[in-house]
Amino acid sequence: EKKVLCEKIIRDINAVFLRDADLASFEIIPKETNCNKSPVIHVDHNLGLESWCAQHVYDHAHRTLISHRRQTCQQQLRILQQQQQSDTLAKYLNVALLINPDVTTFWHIRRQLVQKNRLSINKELQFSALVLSIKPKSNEAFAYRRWLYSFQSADAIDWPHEISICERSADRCASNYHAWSHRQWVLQNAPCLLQSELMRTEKFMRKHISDYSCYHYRQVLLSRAYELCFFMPDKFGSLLELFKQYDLQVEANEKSVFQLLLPQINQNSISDQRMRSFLYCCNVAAHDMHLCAQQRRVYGPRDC
Amino acid sequence: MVKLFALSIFYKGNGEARILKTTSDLQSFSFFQRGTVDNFMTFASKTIVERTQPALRQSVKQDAYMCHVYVRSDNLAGVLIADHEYPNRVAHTLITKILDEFATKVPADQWQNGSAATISFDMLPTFLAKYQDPVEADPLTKMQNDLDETSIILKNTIAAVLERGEKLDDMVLKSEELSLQSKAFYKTAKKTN
Amino acid sequence: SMATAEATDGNDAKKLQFWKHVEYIENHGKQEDDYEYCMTEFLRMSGIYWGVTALDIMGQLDRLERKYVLEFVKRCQCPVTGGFAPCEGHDAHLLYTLSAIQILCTYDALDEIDTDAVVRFVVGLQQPDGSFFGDKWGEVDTRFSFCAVATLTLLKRLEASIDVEKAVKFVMSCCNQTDGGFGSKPGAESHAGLIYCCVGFLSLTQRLHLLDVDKLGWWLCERQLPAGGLNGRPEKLPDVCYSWWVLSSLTIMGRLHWISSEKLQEFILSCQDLETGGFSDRTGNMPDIFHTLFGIGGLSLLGHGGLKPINPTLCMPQYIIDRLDIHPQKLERP
Ligand SMILES: CC(C)=CCC/C(C)=C/CC/C(C)=C/CC/C(C)=C/COP(=O)(O)OP(=O)(O)O
Repeated sequence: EKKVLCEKIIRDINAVFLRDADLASFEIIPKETNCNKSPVIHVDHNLGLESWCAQHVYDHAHRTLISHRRQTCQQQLRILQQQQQSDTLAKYLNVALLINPDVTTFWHIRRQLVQKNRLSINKELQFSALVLSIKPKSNEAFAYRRWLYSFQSADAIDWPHEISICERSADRCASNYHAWSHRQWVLQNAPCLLQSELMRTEKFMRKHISDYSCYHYRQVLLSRAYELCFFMPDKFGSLLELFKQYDLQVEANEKSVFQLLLPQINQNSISDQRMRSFLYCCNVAAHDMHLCAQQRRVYGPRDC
Repeated sequence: MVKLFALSIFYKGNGEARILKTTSDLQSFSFFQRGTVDNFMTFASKTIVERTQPALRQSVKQDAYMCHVYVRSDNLAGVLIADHEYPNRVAHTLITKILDEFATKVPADQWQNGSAATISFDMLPTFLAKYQDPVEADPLTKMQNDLDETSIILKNTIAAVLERGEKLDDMVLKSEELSLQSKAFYKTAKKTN
Repeated sequence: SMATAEATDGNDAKKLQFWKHVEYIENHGKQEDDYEYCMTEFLRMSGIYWGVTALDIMGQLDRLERKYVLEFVKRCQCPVTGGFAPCEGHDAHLLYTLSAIQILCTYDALDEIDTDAVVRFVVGLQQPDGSFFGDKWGEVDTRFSFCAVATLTLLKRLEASIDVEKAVKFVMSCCNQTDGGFGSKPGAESHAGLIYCCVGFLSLTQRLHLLDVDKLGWWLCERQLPAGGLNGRPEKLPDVCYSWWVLSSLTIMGRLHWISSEKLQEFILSCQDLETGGFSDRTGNMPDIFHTLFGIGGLSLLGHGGLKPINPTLCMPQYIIDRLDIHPQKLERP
């Protein structure tokens, strides 16, 4: 009887997936008793499952998937190759991974289904984003996205969208290691985002004052900027202000500022671009130092 | 996280606190949680106002949240629920300002029996939005003169505000303001912790 | 009377609840229809390693049935790849392959499996840049570098299997110049768990001289918070498992004395569950088997009485490492 109920719930969830192509979030809603209404709730692209049934539904989906895995290789292959059978498998996978996103083997079954063209890459990107809505720290979900993107050419990928997924995950979970690592991977693939990333992360730091991961990412951004010879036409005001604090007199032009910072370097031996990028990066660093000092004044010293 | 969640104005009659106006920004909570979170924030705000003496300021920490309360000597009270990283001083500055505004815009004879429906005062959402960034909302120099931070009483949990013999669990259970769903939520949250 | 009852309670929290923990671990594997047990099936092999090791450190290994454990481990070896799955029906992965080999070493039962197949599995996952995939799907992480060399070391097959030089080069490319620590990939943030993996890796490959010991040691001891517990990164809460990741790294580097042992010990003991036994991540939370090993392991590193010495590099009882005649590098206290 329990089995029948679980099957029905899984069918209901699957129906939501089929009906709503833009599901934005999943969560488990605390509710201890079964009130004879469907525990699957769907409002405004948000999907909820009442907590009383999560355990049973997971147990059932898990059993079904593992028994599939315990079949012989040929049997498994046959299932993966038939559309109808693989649809059934996907139905259990969706539920199992939304409730327990840590199960690597289940993600692997999805990978096999993708390889057999039984699941579409775009839908899979959406599904993994849905998993991140309930577990923003899921390394499996991020790794799966990187794997999916390996089938697409870099210029066909919506990198800003990927950044926004990182940011949403980092917003929801302080010092979210995997979200920030994933963001580094995005930056590596889409260096054109440098400028917007510098702006976005500053905003983030102002709001998440003790998220060290973001500060680390800023360091990565800066070394990447220097590596790529990146700069913006800037009057390096933060740098000049910093000099003032140390009572250093300097004329506000590139050559003098550079001379003050690196007196041993012969300026003619380096390109104009390199010099500007160097000054630009130093200026961002100086700006960040001011920002940190300001944060300290406003929020006080941090105690852990 | 530097974040403001809810701002409300109460009138503290004898014993009971009456909510006059409230606003909240719960976008950072998951969709189905928002209702219960809102419910709890109102419950906590009311509870704390009722246990704060007139002419007192308190900041009560509960998990990652901070509940800032100021009850004026004329019994008008303001409550701001913020993340614990939001600076206490700015929180109290905001409460003071909003109560001043309220007192000038809404005649005192409406306070005692008023309610959200009868009172017209629509500045709460604007203030809540503006103060999300404390640096921009209130330049540093001004903040420092505005308010003596030592006048704020700090409490470590809601339990520390309760009166002798009162228990939070019982209050949640008995409360008429909390929905069944909120109560279930409270129970589950306690269990998983 | 009330007063004495309270006094004993207070004292209990300060003492190691030895027998309660033994009981907790012994019962752990018996709740097979428990939801929690079902949810953690995907890491069962590591779960067994945590339990086996903790019991052995407490001198109570015979509480588990050797035959039952070994049968389970053997069933998890994948006949195709040679690696170990966390549980039947799941896929083989380096993480669980190391755990399986650790269990087999503890029971002195390596001859009961096909070790050549294990070596083939590990060797096949090394990449041209020296890094390791965790399995065939291609995720790279310094954790996997550690698992690979630790597995091969325990099998005494480190030399003449993988390209150690390249493996070292990859791990060193994950070192952050600013703090001397390591992340999961080149450029990733330093993290105490991954520092353990990389320091352990360098200890197994006899390359500790590549570390900036003063810089890294400083960062590691900054992980101790005023209340005594250790966190794994700046601005994070303390967690018992970091007693292991941080402490073992400091021990390998000969810098254990850079933190306050007493305060840490107090913190670890405060995370015991006085009713059920077992340790939790922080005071007052639910205990689990993972934090139980790292609580006990941390106490062993601190020299707590009644516990066998633990090897800081391999997180196994020292007597087993001696029996295998393995010698992970360790720096002397300066
Ligand atoms: C033989 C032993 C004991 C271990 C095997 C080697 C392994 C797998 C070590 C794992 C070390 C470890 C804890 C790595 C951490 C990985 C990581 C980057 C976690 C970040 O995830 P969060 O969930 O953000 O964790 P924190 O919040 O604790 O930082």
